[in-house]
Amino acid sequence: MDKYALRVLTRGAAPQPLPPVVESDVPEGRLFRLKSALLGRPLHSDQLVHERLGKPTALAVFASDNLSSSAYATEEILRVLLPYVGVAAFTLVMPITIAMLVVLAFLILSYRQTIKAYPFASGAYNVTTANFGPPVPQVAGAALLIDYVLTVAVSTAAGTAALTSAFSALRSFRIEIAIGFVLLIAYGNLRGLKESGRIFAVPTYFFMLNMVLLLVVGLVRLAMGDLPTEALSGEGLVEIGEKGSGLLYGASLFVVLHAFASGGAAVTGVEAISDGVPAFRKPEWKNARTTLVVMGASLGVMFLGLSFLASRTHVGVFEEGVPTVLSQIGDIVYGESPLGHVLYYALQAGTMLILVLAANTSFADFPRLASFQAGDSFLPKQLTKRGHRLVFSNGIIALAGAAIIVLLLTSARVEALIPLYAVGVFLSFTLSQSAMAKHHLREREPGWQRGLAINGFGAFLSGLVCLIVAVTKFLDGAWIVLLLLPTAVLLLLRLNRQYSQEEAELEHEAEVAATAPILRRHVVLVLIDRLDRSTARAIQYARTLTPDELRAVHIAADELKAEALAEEWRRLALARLSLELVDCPDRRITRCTVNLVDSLLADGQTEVSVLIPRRIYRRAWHRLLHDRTADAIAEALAPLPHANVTIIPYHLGGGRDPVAPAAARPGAAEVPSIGGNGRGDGPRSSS
Amino acid sequence: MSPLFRRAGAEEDADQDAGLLPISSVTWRQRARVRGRVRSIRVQPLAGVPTLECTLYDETGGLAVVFLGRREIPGIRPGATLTAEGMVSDHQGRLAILNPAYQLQSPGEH
Repeated sequence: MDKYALRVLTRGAAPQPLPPVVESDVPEGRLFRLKSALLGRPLHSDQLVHERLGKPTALAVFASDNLSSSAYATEEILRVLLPYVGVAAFTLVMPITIAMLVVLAFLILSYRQTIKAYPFASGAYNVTTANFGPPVPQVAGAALLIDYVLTVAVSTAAGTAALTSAFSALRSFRIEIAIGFVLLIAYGNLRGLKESGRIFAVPTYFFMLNMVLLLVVGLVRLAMGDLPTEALSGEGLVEIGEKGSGLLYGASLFVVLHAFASGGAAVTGVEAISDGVPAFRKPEWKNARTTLVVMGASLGVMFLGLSFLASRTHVGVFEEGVPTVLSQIGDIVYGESPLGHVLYYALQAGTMLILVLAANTSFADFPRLASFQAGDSFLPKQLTKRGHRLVFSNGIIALAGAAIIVLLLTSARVEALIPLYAVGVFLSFTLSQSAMAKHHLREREPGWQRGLAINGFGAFLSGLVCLIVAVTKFLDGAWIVLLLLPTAVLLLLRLNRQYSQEEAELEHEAEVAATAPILRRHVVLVLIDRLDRSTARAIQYARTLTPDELRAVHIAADELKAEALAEEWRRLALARLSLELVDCPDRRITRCTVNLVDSLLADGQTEVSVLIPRRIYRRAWHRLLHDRTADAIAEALAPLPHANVTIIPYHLGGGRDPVAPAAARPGAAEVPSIGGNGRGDGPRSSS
Repeated sequence: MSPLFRRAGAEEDADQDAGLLPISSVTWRQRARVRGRVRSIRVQPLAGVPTLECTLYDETGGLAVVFLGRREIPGIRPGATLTAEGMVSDHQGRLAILNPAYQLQSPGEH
């Protein structure tokens, strides 16, 4: 017989396997039940799938933000031009559109480089982090965060405009509808529909189909010569200026640049693909690059085509933004026939859907970027947590909240939002392209000169556009962003300082602290307020700690109560322990406790545990019936090193049957401990 | 206390003040007469040895005042002002006056 078998036999019973893991029968919290009802059952961490997207689906998922800008870009250019140059605006809109598309082309070229160099994280934040020191990535990150908020606001506002253009009865509910869209998208994202491709493909391609149809019909009718031209005056239209003469038809360079800056909104969303490279099918970077080019080409066709139709039909721009230019063009091109009406409504529906989807892109990007930044300790750590349905719930809620505030402040008017827009995007483009230029200079991979040229020029061009946008739209509202941005960056850096200080303190000589000699004495104080089951539980628990000294203490703030308690104690004598009545002349129980504990700590050799019995109430209003002395005491003792507070919970009414299941499950964690304060750094200096 | 409200026993009180020691200068195995505020008292269960133990503090420090064989003494409660006189010895490792001659001051007095 071998030694092991012998030992088992002499011990009596052979060891048994552990019982199976079962879910605790402790009831779930109210918040969890609410979340489960609203969002569905919680997802398991293993269910975090990284869906790989094929190129067509990826285009639909990532490009909706970018493609949707074609729905309002032309209108914003015209809005700037019309008051200054009148009919000439329709001539100028084409060159400005082309200029914008040239910028887009260079950005796409630049991003092709980025995607190849950083296939797993090509977002501006990651690329700048890889190439620059601390403040630069934060500037890029803050700029992008601001722009994501604005994207949501602009997209939902524009989507609402598409809806109200078709159904004018809804116009007075503009703000409510826009906020409703935001809430709907936020809800969908909290549930975790995220980038589930196929749902997204439908609206994106539906919109593209409608746009192509619009352009084809428009061009054919133009060629046949029966495309009508709008009258340029009417109620609610933006005032039309006088046509001047000369190269720019009397428009100053400033006005042209201003219009160009407004068109800059069209280029936003280019970064979405680079953020999502890991979601592509293999080879990721090649597919992403192809998709990027297809996206640019599609946007180019739609933007250019729409601007061209606008320049020929002479549609006006309404002060209120509705009906939109796109809607008016659709109306003119499709005409009055029943089929025309159907096509018109299809166009409006497609526009609305893709705009809402564009907002959804931000809901994928903002929480992800925020989680990166929070992971680097530049934003609150809560943003790194995946919630109930495996999405960054806190980021989603933050984005929705911010977007709703913006919508309320601007009354959900696209034209009020556009000036704020695009500064951040171009700033982050500039920084990310500069980072790429630096990357090329450092790495010197084959063909680096070409890459440097592309990214360098990309940086220059986007920097120039950023400057143009900032200057020309400064008074319209860009100043808000220019003010907000440095504030946000400072805030991020301040947060980071806080986090690193905390970390430095916590990590400082952690190993030494772990091996430091423990204190000689352990005194356990059980705070007694009354003699009841909760007190009895606390004393029983205190005895399991086998301290050097166990004291039951009542802070005698109320003399009569103290005397009654003393009398009761003499008779019942829980665990034969004596009860100490402590004088508390100013009735500040918290302060008296602090004084008492502090006097016990004075010798520098004592670890004090304060046990506070606390009743756990079943309903929120039950809690209102009692004060929160226990929590106040726990908090007040927190600054004292070697003073520890343990809350001994007693569940009133709602708790599980205290005998049977608890006995069957020994070692069930029932003592949440707060404020362990053993810093272990020798005697305290204060007293 | 203002002279207007002096009670008849005021002269006695003045006598009591004579010979009072600050608690910090009390020494073990010497007689002492101290006055202070009862900062805490210890309530013994009926099952245990009858002892009333309280901690007396003045501005300079504190010591234990222990009444052996008593469970409670009317008037001795947290916050009471007590004058105690007796041999200073020790009780469970603490400096203490056991079974002192004592006098209670009414609130606000002394």
